[in-house]
Amino acid sequence: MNRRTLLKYLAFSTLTLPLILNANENIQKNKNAKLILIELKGGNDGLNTLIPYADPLYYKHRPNIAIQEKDVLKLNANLGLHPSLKELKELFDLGEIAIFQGVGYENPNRSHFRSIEIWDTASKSNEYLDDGWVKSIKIQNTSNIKGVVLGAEYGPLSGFENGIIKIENINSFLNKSKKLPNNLYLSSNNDALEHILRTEIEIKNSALKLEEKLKNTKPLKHSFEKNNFAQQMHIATQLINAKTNIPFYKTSLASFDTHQNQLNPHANLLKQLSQAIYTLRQNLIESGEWENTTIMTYSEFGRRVEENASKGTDHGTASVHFVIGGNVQGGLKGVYPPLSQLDSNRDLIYTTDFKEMYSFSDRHETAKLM
Amino acid sequence: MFKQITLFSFLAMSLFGSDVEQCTHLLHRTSFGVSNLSLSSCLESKTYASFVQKMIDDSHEVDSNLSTTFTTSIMRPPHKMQKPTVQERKIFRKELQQQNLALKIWWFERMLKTEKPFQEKMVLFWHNHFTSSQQKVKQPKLMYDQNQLFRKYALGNFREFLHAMLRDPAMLIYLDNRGNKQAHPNENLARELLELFTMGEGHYFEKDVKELARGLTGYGLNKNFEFRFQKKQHDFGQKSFLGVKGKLSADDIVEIILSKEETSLFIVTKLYKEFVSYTPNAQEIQKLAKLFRESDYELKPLMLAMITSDDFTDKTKVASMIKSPVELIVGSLRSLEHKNFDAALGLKYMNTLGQNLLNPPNVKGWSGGKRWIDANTLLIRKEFLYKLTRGDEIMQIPLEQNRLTQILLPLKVYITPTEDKKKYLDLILQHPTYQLK
Repeated sequence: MNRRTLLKYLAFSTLTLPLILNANENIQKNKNAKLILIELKGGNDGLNTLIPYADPLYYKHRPNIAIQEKDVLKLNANLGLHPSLKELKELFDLGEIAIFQGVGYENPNRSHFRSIEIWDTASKSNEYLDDGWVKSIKIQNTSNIKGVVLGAEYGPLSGFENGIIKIENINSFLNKSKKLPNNLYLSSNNDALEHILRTEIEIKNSALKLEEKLKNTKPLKHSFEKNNFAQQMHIATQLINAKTNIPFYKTSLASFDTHQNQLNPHANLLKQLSQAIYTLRQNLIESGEWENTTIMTYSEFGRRVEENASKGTDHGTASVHFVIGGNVQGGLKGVYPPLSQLDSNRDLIYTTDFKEMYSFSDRHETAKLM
Repeated sequence: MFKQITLFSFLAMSLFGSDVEQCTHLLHRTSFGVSNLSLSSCLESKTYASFVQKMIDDSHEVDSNLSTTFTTSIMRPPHKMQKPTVQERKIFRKELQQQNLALKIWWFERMLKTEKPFQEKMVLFWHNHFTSSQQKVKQPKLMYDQNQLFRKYALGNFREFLHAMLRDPAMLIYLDNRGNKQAHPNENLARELLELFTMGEGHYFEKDVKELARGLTGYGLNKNFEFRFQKKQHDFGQKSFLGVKGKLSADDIVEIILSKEETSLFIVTKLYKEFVSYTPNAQEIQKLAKLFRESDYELKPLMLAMITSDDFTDKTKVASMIKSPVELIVGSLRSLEHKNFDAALGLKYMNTLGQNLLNPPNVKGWSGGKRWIDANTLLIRKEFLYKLTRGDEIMQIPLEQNRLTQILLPLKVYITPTEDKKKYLDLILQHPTYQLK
């Protein structure tokens, strides 16, 4: 149950080269590579995100909350995107978005907390790992800041000894850090104290670097919406455009746990997602960083096929996820789990293991699979 | 200006003399900060155990002398508007916001002024266990009632507590049980009840979640937002839960849950991690869980045993945990006798530090521990502490420097004496060990 098990699992996977290898290779090849992870917190309803509008079973199971065919942004004769995702539809048409269907894992766990742990650590369902999966990517990056957590928990970025910082607002971070005393660092047998001292040093080092890089940057040309998620994406954009060379970013968009009256809130969340990604892309195109950037969504699980009595959906299994970037080969990937074949819990049966999905995020490898 | 702090002394322990250290450790863990008064009364008590016993007995009674500016009459009774206009909706939202804030201020002031801080600490623990949030529940009165329920059972009987929670209107709204009907069960409450409130993940199957959800069908509210068992929506059929078969109601299932050792282990572990150490000691947990079961889930004997245990008083446990935002803020204000601090500002700081009172981030509550502190929150913590020493009020605290260090820092640290009291306080409050408890 250690990291080695995971490496072994991934390295000898027969289906594909794992991300750990190609991301490693990619980052060695392209030391400017950036990965932005978007956590759709609460369990995003995949069925109402990528809609099997041609399947009567979809409408049968969801008499109140199905998206009507006329509203679906059609991708082909069977599938289409939620009407809130119009910007992502545009990216789909441009071939910059890969849409992975039926993403999940063997023996799915329906607890928010355990399932996101499985995703964060890229473990199997019955395997308990401590470190986030991103830690396994060997980076040749010289940046002393390896990752920035912009929303919610560290998740996939946890387990690093140092180099990961959490920021909510860059200016206030820089201002406050100036008041921090220069404490000596002394290792102690008190874990909690050691954590505080480490954090102090981290702040000092990061602030120094950010200050220098951000000194001469221009304001962004395309402005983000006011919502919290858009603001996280704004900071990620600023840091990338300032050539800080920080490779990993983790953002979070919350409230996907739609147990009741889900139609409006869900539409709203998808809109926030779609708009912020689009604005980020526009800004990164300006700076020439879009080619270096890959965005990935993830979520602890999808939701039950059948709606519940409160016009919402309970915790489910497989869902749909997006990989987006200037260097991604777009298109629909994998197979939509058939609604006619559900598991004993009446949930979708996954068709793509998320651990394998990670390996598709590089065009080179994706091409091999096509 | 901070260079004179000798970090070498982090490693030194037990420099206050054992009684003082034992008392400050106890108070840091069971109260909000250490005050001059609380330290004295601990030191004056006959024995450590008798002080703990008295603290627990006292905390079981609701503190009725506590006067606050809050009255429930400002809260409109819970109700649903019939087709409100845009304007009505706007007014309603504003009112709601004000009332939710008033409720937070009410609790904040209780924590700040109570003579039974251990009670409020237990209430905070239960708020983080049986989570509900204003954001979802929306009715301030129901959040108030739930908070008072936590106070009633803070150190009461967990069995009765659990049954009461199944009928708590805020909980039924928070976990969507109003929509849990025989025709289409909603599993939200059932799942979290098993996973987070009683047994913990891995001790039941998906089928048991579904069976409990069936048992909970019809546990809803009437139009006045009072608990109502809606017979028509309830599934009276045969069920099978963890191997027990019968026409089980949710209450029957709760009894089955309580008959399992896992439940006592789960609750005791959570309390242990809150009060004793982040690293549970399996042997001690077993012992305490056995006591918990044998006392029919009474919380008082459990907490007495836990707080007087060798594990709790063990010297390596001193200052080994990180203060939560509530502990940091309320504790600082209590220790520094800063009673007129703007509550709304205090609450705002709690929020930016990751602990929005009455609005836990999700049903699992705040994860806490080391996660309280990251680059972002550490800087905000320090900013709050600078703010504290900025006013004049703080300078009136009639304590000599030695005593201040004693009540404020959980570990003995050498702070260079200085004539400038403000500077001295800054040195203490900005010290890394001030974040510890």
